[in-house]
Formats: sequence, C-alpha cells, structure tokens
Amino acid sequence: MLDVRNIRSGYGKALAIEDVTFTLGASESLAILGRNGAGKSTTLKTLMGMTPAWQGRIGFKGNDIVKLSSDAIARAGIGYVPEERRIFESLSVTENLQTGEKAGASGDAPWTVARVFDLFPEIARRSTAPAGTLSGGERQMLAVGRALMGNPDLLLLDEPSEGLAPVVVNRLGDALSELRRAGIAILISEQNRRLARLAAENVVIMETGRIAYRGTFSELDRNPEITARLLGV
Amino acid sequence: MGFYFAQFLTGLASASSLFLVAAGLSIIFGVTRIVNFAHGSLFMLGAFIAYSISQQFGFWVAVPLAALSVGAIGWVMERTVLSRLYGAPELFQLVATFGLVLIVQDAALWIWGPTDLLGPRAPGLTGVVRIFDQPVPEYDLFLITVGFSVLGAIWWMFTRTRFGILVRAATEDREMLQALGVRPARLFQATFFIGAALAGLGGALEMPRQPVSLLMDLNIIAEAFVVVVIGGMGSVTGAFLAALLIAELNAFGILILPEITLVAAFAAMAVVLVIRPYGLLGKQATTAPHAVEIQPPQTLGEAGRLAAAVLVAALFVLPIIAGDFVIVLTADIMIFALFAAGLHFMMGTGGLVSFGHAAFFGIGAYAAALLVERAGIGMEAALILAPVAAAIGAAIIGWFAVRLSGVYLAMLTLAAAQILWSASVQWQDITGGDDGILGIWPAAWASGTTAYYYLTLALTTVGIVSLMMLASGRFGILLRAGRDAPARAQALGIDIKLRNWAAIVIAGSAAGLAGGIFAFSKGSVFPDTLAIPNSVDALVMVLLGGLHAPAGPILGASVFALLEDSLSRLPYWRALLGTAVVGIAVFAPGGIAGSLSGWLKRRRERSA
Ligand SMILES: Nc1ncnc2c1ncn2[C@@H]1O[C@H](COP(=O)(O)OP(=O)(O)O)[C@@H](O)[C@H]1O
Ligand SMILES: [Mg+2]
Repeated sequence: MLDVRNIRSGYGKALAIEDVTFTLGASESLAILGRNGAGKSTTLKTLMGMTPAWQGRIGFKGNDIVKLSSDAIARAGIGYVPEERRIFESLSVTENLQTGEKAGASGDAPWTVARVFDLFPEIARRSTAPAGTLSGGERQMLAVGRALMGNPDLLLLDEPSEGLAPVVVNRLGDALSELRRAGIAILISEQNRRLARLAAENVVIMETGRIAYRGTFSELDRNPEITARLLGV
Repeated sequence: MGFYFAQFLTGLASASSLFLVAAGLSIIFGVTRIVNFAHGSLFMLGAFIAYSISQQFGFWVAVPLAALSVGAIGWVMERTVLSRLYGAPELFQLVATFGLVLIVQDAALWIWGPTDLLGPRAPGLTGVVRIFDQPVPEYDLFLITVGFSVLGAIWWMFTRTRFGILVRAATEDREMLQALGVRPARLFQATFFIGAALAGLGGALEMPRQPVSLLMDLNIIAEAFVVVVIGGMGSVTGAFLAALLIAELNAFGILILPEITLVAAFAAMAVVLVIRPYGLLGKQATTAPHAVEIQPPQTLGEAGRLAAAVLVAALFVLPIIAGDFVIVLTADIMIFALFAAGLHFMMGTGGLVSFGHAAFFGIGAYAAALLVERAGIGMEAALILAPVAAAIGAAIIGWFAVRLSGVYLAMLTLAAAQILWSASVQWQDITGGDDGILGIWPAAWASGTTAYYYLTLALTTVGIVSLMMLASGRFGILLRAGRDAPARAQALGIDIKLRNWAAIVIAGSAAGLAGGIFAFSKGSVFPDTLAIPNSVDALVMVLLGGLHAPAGPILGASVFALLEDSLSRLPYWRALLGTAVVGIAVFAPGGIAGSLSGWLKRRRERSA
C-alpha cells in the first residue's frame, strides 16, 4: 500500500533525512524508532507533503503522491496525528472531530463522532468543552479521533506516547490494537518501545536521518546490542 | 437625557456599517493571514453598485444585489491576485492589496465619474420616531437591527455550520487543517466572498446616510483598521465591540470638540494596545512566520561608490548646463529620493513596513510652514526643526507599532497618516484646511531656483549618505539580525524593539527633512502632503528600486518621477501605477535593482 523509495528532505538548505526506503502492505503496521533528532518526524511530514521531498518516490495505493499537497494526500486516504497534536484549542471536542470529517478514499464513511466516542469514552464526556482545556492524554485521543474521522486507510502517528503517563499509554495501545483489527494500516514513530510493539510488528530504526536497521521486534529482542547502539538503552 | 440617548443611537447606527466592514476584514485575515487594504475599496464599490442598481430597481433590491456583486468581486480579486501571494512575504501581500486600492479607485472614477452621487433613501424608512422626545431616524434603527442581525448570523455560521467551524479552525492552524484534507483554495475563496459581501453590504447601506464618493474607500479603511486592531485581528466579536466603542466615541466626541474625533479613535487604540497588545479579544497568532533567508548586508561596492561620486558631481554641475524645468524636476527627485531612502531604511533593513510614511513627510512640511508662518522663525531653524517634529511623531507612532507584528505597523501608520490628513483638512484655523499654507519662501541667500537646488542637493546628499552608512554599519547589522532571526538576536541580548523604534524615528526624521525642503521649494503646504497617495508614491519608489539594493531608493525615485511626469498626463495613471505595484509584488519582488543584479548574475554564471 505504501512504497517509500529513497526520499530525501530537509529544512531550508539543511538536509534532515536521506535514502529513506521502506514499504508497508495493506493492514500492516510499522514502527519507526530512533533517538531525538533522528528524522522520524521529518519522515512522516514528508509523507504528508508538509515538508517537500527533495528527491525520491512515495507510492500510495499505486499512485505517486510525492508531488501532491497535504490536503490531497489526506484525501487519498492517509490520516495524520502530529507530534504536537495540534488540536484546535478554541473549538469544542466535537467541533475538532468535525474538522477531520470526510469520506474515505473508497467513498464510504464508517467513522462517525459517535464511533470515535465509543473508542475514546474519555473525550466523549468532554464533548462540548473547548479542546484547549483537555489534558495531555485527552488531547492525544482527540488528535487520533480527528484523523479517524477522515476514514483513512493508513494512519501516521508521530510519537503519540510523548509526555503521557504509563496508564494513558496503555489505553492508547489498546485503542491502536483495535484499529489494527479494524484493518487500518499504521505507521508509528516512537521512542517508547512498549507502545510501538503494541501498534506494530515490523520496525525500522533511524539514526541521523538514515535507516540504520530494519527487522521485526522479536528479532530486535534477540539482539540487544543493536538497541544499545542505535537507541542507547 | 433624551438627547444623549439619541446621540447614543446615532453612534450605534454608525457602528453597524463599521462593524460590517471590520468583520469582513477580520475574517479574511483570520483565515488567509492577509491584511486586505482593498477592503475599503470593496465597501466603496458596494455603495456605487447599489447606487446604480437602485436607479433601475429601487433601494431594497439594490442593497442585497450590491452585497452579492461585491462578494463576487472579492472572489475575483482572490483568484487573480491574492491566491498567487499566499506563500510570499507579508510585505508583498500588503503591497499588492494596496495596488488593488489604486486600481479600484480609477475603475470607480471611470465608471461613475468624479462627482459625489446622492443615493436614494430607504422607502418605508424615511421618517423619524420620537424616543424620549428626541427625533431618531427610522433608518438608524434599521441599521442598528442589521448590525445585531449580522452579528447573530455570523455567530450562527461559526458555530452551526461546517464552513464556520473550518473558518475558526483555519484561524488557529491552517496547515493542520489542510493536513486533514481540507482544500485551502476553496476555503479562502469562500472566505473572501463572504468578507467582501459584508463590506459591500456595509457600503450599500450607507447610501441614505452619506453621498457616494471616491473618498469612501480610504476613509473607511483607516477606521476599520483601528477597529480591527482594537478588537483583535481575527475576532468578529472583538470587531463588534470595537466598532461600538469607536462609533460612540465619535458620536459623543463630536459634541465636545469636532476636530478631535479621529484623534480620539487613535487615542483609544493606543490605550487598548498598551493594556492588551493583541486587542480586546485577539490572540497572538500561533502560526510560525515565514522562514526568511538572511539577506547579505547592503553595501555599495567599489563600483557603487564610484558611481555615487560621479552622480553627485554630475548633479553639482547640472545647473550650468540645464534649464529651470530640469533643475526643478531634479530637485524634486532628490527630495523624493530622501523620502524614499528613509522608508527603504526601515523596510529593507529593518523589515518594518510603513503604509503611512506621508505622515512624517507631512509633519515635516507643516512644521516648517507653521514655524515660518505663525512663529516667524527663519528657514534655517525651520529646516532643523522639521525633521525633529517628524521624529517626535514617528516616536509616538513607533512606540506602539514596535510592540506588534508587521501588519499592525502597516495598519497603524496608515491609520495615523489618514487621521493627520483629516486633521489638516478639518482644522482650518491652524492649517488653513484645503487652502493650505502659502508664502513659505526660503531665506534670501537660498532663494532662486539654482540656489535652492544647491541647498537641496547638500541636504539630501547628507541625509541619504547618513542613512546608507547607518544601514551598512553596526546599527544596520543589529537591525537585520532582529529582522531575520529575532529569536537569536533576543538571545544575544539585543533589544530588538528599541532598535526598531530607533529605525522608525530615523526614517521619520528623514521624511520630515524631505517634507521641510519640499515646503520651501514649493512655497506652500497642502493636505495632500499627508494623504495616502503620497505614502503610496514612497512605497512604489522603494519597491521599484528594489527593497534590498542600497541604490534602490535613488533609482526608484528617479524612475518614478520620470514615469509620473509622463504617465500622470494619462487619464487613468493611478490604475496603471496600481497594476505596476501588483505586478512588482507578484512577478518582480526584487525591483529594478534586484532584477538587474539577478539577470547579471545569471549571465555571468552562464558564461562561466
Ligand atoms: N522545523 C525545523 N527546522 C529546521 N530543522 C529542523 C526542523 N525540524 C527538525 N529539524 C531538524 O531535522 C532533523 C530531524 O528532526 P526530526 O525529524 O524532528 O527528528 P525526530 O522526530 O526523530 O526527533 C534534526 O536535526 C532537527 O534538528
Ligand atoms: Mg519528532
């Protein structure tokens, strides 16, 4: 479904990622691990068309989306949950969900406000509150829910566990497992390996803008020296 | 008691139109981040179009149709010009909408002619009702109802429709909204349509209250800027409150001292900005500013210095070979080069945009004239005090402006210039009103075309060279640091606000000196030294010459003066000027000097 080949991107004249290549099948999921500044967010933003790719190809469901604007990429069926969440603080929780509302690429729209509230009862209770008053965990749920409202085939999640308490991370992990069962492909960038493992079976590790390792979590468990070298744990 | 209540209602009625215009301006800014200077032009078009339609179909058909037509015109403006500028630096967006003002001015002049038109009154609402024994026009009550209804309608749209929710979301973070699949182009078009239609409605509804005239655009835009700044950019409720405040200030201020009503509005804005820098209900914009590349310093090279020396030498010998006409034209060019050089200094080096630079030019000119005329001071002292007076004016305006972002500075300076212009027209006892102040002649030793030419040459050369040295020296470096990398400059302990303030004061005093020299060269001062077209001229000179070229203002002033000399004989030359301004902003942001050096560089690269 997603076929990323040799993308290179950066900010102004400064290179941030180079030679990034990976693929992801329908309903599959992949975690990108890496230290701060490794290039995880830049990779996701480049997929989303928010930082321009200087070079390379991004195939999505057979089409090259590398030149498309971010709204067209979203409409092609990719949902994006940014690292900073970027919820609309002055809008209510329900209104935030409505901003993401659109039919999926295939034309049907299984996700509704009610279904998001089923998945995240925590924010259902706050439906009329301004989103600016939500806690960190609730904001993250709202950001995920907002992306789901666009009925994506692929969900990009940028360090969803950042700054969240362990209980909330578990809650999020459960929700992501449920989404996987519903057939949504997931590409998640994480520093928290536990959540990454709940959300994905395959993994790539980035280091200084390049992919330094690719494999599965079980493989990674058998080779602690890799994690020690690339993740410093 | 009854009288004051009636006066209060008059204020409310005036607030309605002002609110309609300001709300549209604010919504457009919220979504597109563009300050639409042409918004007053849309208001004016609303009045003119409504006038034409009403001749055929009557008032009640004319008003809604005019609003819709103006909405469509706004949509066309967005499609043809502004949509090309969403990625451009703020300055060029501002300048392009300014170009549109000029184009609309001449279009209206061409279609409806120069005389004021008296529109029809609203059938069914021509009477008065008695409230507390005071006569209140029915139409005023109708306007008040319209104001509240529109506020209600906008509130409904913002909270109950998907479009409204998207508008609010875009006001917060439009990049994120786009990443959710919302097409920005459609949202922007719809926003422009609605904002323009509101302005058109406001203009159409003014028909029974004031004659339809070509002055409506700049008068309302200055006031609408004050309202939007007080209310908070992007906040409709804020615009409503601020429109009420300003309109009531006007309604009651006129009872106390008619001449100061505009000044009172400005003072109100000043007070609000000191207490709440982003306006009553405004928030600091969260979107990051455009990443600008740090520009190399503006210094004249060896060749440039040589050219400058040759130029001064040529100007020195000019009176020996040229006739009076050429000498006067050249002196005018030098005065405008100094005027433009100050603006170029603050805009190019400081990144501070002034749309009312004529304010400082006019202060200088009026200060010189008043000192000579009323205080009996000699020319020499007047020429020293003219830039001082302008510097004081710049210090006051700049003090508020540096606290805010670039668009506020542009809006504030424009509003200030427009207020000073009104004061110069209205305050007849002091300024002579439209008749101006006459008989401001130079001292005996400097009188005569050639003698005054040499004085002009000496003063403008000193002024321009000082500005160039400041720009390329330490002060200029720090100013540029504040412009390109404010966070880093702040971290290094540079007081950016203080530098920017100083830059505005310096630019203002250069304009004031130019104004003073100008007053003595013409022997008179008129309100048009303070008027918007004079500000636009300076702006065009700077852009034409090139914002980041040291010789820009000289080149720009020369080309502009020659163009004006030939073009101003054409009937619709302001529209041509406006088209040129839009063209520069869209196609040649580097100006003449920038395009020239870019072309030379490409040639050199090709041959290498
Ligand atoms: N907005 C930005 N402007 C300039 N450089 C950036 C920006 N965002 C990230 N970078 C740089 O790009 C590199 C990769 O960053 P990022 O993709 O955010 O890494 P990660 O998400 O893995 O922490 C880093 O060197 C970082 O400093
Ligand atoms: Mg990151």
